[in-house]
Amino acid sequence: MIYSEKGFEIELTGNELEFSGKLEKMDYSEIDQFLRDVDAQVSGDVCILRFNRLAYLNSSGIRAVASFVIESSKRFEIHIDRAVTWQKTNIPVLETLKPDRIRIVS
Amino acid sequence: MEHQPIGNGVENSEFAYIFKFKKTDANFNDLWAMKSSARESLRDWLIAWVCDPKTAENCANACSELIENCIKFSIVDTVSTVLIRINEASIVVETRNMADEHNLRMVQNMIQKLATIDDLREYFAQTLLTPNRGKSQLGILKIIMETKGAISFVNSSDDRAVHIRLEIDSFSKL
Repeated sequence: MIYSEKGFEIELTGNELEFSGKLEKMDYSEIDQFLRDVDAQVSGDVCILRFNRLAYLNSSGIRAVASFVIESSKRFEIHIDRAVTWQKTNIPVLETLKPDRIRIVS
Repeated sequence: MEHQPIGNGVENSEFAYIFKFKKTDANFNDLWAMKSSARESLRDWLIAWVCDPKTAENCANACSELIENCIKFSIVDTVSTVLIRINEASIVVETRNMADEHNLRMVQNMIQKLATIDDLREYFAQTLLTPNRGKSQLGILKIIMETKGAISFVNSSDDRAVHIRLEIDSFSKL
């Protein structure tokens, strides 16, 4: 499954969801739906999110990712690049939302 | 509180980057695309000024979030102004746009509230949990967390004006 627009792509391969490019939409309703579809598609208990290739994510995008992980019953392993300030600062906050269900991997 | 026009201090700055834009009924998507270009351009200009790349990127990202707020919340057919200026000690980002009273108070209240928050990370998490998409001022929280800067609401003689100033230590370790 792939969601792609000019400038960014979100690709599901097995249970790994990779974000790449620069994601800074005004309206995330289509992405919200895609992520709900991803949640239904991924079998098993664990979903891996990879942000290492995502150069930019605006605050509305962080909220969309947060809503996805909060509403899902799955456990998440989230891969980030700690050399990127917005990733190091914002993504680990997701771990506090569901500390027994979300793990940050650098 | 003092009233200061945007642009105060430009003449004493070593670097200044300023642009204005008008929001209309028809140009929202173009402005949104422009915002991305402005972020990339600002980052490149800051690096050229010999700002370290990480500070340049964090400053440009902060500016991008502020411009997003200008585009989203400005009254149609009004002009927004964005100014970035640098001297030896700090980087200052200012935006000024016209908003309705509700949106103005929302921004003003968030900035005032920031001064009272001990654990910004915890507040950020709580904000993510509340279903108030687009109105929670999450962008302002993100800016402060990433830049470690000081943000203030600058009063204006125009009661529709949302004038925000973000000051970042030029040499902060981020």
